[in-house]
Amino acid sequence: MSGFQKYISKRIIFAAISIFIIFTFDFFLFRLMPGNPIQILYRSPALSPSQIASLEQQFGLNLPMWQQYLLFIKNTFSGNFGISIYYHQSVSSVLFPALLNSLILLIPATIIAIFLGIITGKIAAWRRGTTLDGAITGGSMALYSIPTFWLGGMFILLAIYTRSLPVSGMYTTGASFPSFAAQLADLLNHMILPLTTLTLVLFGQFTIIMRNSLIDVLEEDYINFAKSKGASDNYLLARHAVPNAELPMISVIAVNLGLSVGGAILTEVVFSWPGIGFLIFNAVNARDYPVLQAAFVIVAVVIVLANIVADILYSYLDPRIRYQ
Amino acid sequence: MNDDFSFWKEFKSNRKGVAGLIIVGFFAMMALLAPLISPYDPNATNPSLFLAPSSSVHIFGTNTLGQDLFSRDVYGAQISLIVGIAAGAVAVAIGLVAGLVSGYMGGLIDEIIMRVVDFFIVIPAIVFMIIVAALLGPSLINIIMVIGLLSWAPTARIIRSMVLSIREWPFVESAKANNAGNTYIMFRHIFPNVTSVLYGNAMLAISAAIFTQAALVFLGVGNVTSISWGEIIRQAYTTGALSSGDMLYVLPPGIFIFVLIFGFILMGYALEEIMNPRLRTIKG
Amino acid sequence: MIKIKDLTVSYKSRTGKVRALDSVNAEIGNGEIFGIVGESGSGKSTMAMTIMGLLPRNSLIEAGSIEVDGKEIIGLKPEEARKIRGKKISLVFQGAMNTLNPLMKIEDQVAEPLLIHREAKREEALRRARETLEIIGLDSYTWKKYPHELSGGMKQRAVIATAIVMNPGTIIADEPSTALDVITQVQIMNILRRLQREMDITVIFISHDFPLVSEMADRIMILYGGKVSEVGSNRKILEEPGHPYTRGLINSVPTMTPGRRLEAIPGEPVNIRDPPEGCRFRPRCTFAGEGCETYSYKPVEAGQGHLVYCVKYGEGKNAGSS
Repeated sequence: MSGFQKYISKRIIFAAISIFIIFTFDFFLFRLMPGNPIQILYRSPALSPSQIASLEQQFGLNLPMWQQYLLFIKNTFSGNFGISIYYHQSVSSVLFPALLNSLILLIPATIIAIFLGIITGKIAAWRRGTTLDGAITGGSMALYSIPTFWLGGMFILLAIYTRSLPVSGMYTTGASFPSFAAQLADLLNHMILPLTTLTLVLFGQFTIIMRNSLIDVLEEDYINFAKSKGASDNYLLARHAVPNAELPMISVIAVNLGLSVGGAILTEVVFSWPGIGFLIFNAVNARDYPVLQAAFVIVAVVIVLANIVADILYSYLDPRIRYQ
Repeated sequence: MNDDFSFWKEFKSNRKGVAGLIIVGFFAMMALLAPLISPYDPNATNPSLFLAPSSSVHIFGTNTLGQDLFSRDVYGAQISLIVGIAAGAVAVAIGLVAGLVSGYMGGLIDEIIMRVVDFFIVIPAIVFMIIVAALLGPSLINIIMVIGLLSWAPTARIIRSMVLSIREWPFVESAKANNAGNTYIMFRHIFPNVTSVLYGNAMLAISAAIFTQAALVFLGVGNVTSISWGEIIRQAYTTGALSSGDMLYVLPPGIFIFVLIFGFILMGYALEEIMNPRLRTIKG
Repeated sequence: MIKIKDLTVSYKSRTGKVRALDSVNAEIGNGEIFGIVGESGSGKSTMAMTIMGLLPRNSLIEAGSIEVDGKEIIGLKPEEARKIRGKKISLVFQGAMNTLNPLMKIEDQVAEPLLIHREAKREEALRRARETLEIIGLDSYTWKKYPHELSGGMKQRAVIATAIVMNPGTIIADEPSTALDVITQVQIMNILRRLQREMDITVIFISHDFPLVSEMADRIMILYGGKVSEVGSNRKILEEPGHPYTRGLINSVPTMTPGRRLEAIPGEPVNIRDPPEGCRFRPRCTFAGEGCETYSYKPVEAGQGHLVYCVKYGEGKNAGSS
């Protein structure tokens, strides 16, 4: 096995173990908490007796704990998360559409923020020590410090004052769309404010990551060596400095994905965006524990998988790992 | 670097650090002197003042219970600082011990601790916090512990990488040769040399904890009965004060959270710059 | 031909200005190996960087001129200076650990100067890069490799190949073999010597290692605390050293001669942040006395092209102990 394959398999094994631990956590968290919420809830009057009977059978609620645990793992793997107390339908039928909605918001926001962050971080690092650098660094730290839910509120205020943009949901309530294009236009219109909020919150952090990474690279010998070849500043940045600075950025961004989730949840709640964060928020208020339990697993698994993708990308782009 | 005097001199000449210190000092005074500053008992209700607008007696207006918002904004500094500092301290303490043991012991122990760190860095802590806080109930101590116990991993990673280089230094070798115990070497010899990184890291941990506490309260799983900035913003949303455009309801608590976090970040960044001169913006 | 006149370079620091080079003069002839020796802080690397036009931002050329083939290069516009770097003068860096970009294949890095100076298209540039790599002794096995896949010696060869791919008149080798093992060190030295002989390249060889320089160089310049202390042909310097510091350097070299004592130079290297008045070597010199405190670095000619910067040498009073 080559060093590259060994590295990748090591990461995949780690991811598998992580997912297994997350499942286990999830099981015990909801069962060992004071009052055993799961046990109580599956006797909830909100469910019909036949539903309760079926759940008891599926999750073995009358069986010993270890058998319940095995059933839970089996059910989780097959996407059976039980029934939502609040929605009265299977958790997965609520969860997966919400996950999709979250990604519709989170992925473009992350991409735009990274793209802008690389540009501003590059400028700040190259002009290190100037007023411009100070302004960019200070501004980025300020963006990073702004409470997401408050920034979103400010945008809502602005939109209400100017009567310009929708501030809630994904589509206009009750609207029927004559064409897909009309539906898409409505979606994009609803997306502007949450997307701007989330992008801004992520942007500052990526700028600082890029700046610091690039400053480290600019001190390296190979940068000076490239200068001694007669390289111009632009060439030096584009060909030598930025590629070397972007590499560590991939792993830092992957690691920070868990943090980005926080920003995403708050943004969704503020703008009532029907994603997984909004779902979690509603589930907390409705004490809909099956949904909470499943949402935790799904978000964690998505993050772990995203990290695996970043790891593979990183090791593919870095010849030091690829040709170990 | 270990010379306290020159450290203070460096810090004083770092504009970010000084600005951060002034900000944090301002809010610390606000929290301590809250009973003197606030014109009203922040919990005193007055049914006749339902969402009263700003006036000369209630400069930020009142909430649905007729409580004075200015007084509540002033008192809000207390919870933010208490939770921020306590949760930050828990996170840094755990991270420090984990990082010291991991870096110093090496081998299998290091491998295990680092995988645990990886795990805690990867999992979406905020979701976990929401669920645990919702299940456990939102007492102050629960919030502090939940935030602290889920935020130590980055500190552990940084400390470990420092320990890895420090343990190769001659004085550690000589301590080992003198048969000093592992715990003794870790805390007497290595610990003093990582404190430099610890300060900056602690500031960042505090700023993150303040943010998280406000976010949890906003989502309704924090301690919603005590006075906090996150709670004031949450009420602004739920009572419609935000959508009716009541600026003095929403602006002050948001700006306070923002500025206080910014202050801690400035201090943390300044401390990092002093320790790692490569990052300096202002050379000179 | 490189003519350096009254070159004075300083660095700005928190505590004030530090002069790294102070009124240095030198003439480097075409096709020779010119050695520059000095301990750290002597200004030898500053000299390399000044000639390359690669001084860091906090530095300042206070005075002096550097003429390359009759053309002044100090004060050139960045665009003009760029045209000299890598084309007329190129640099072989200290050590080999991080000189190569970890993300680029060897042949691409060697071909880069040709592309930067628009001397050739990619195919042609790669062909010439491979040719050069072969001259240096790196066969096709290495061409498509990344730096981390090569040994330290191979990497340093690749660095040298990059430096000569444009056929520059001059290469500056700044501690080219430090951090390499002894056998590789010898190989690198042989390559540099071969380049000078076969391709008629001028080599400015910079090192703290006096024996190494004296083995390589046709002429040697010895720097101490930012000042020249002695310059002359290799033979003259070794046989008739005029400066007490030079003699100290020679005597601190272990030799096979039986019965000869090894002597270290007493005292600490000069602190260039706060240099002594007059002769910089004075505090460590056994001959120091009257006149040394006010010495203005007026050279004493000890023979054809052999200059000694010592007031006592002029008075004939600094010889004896060696």
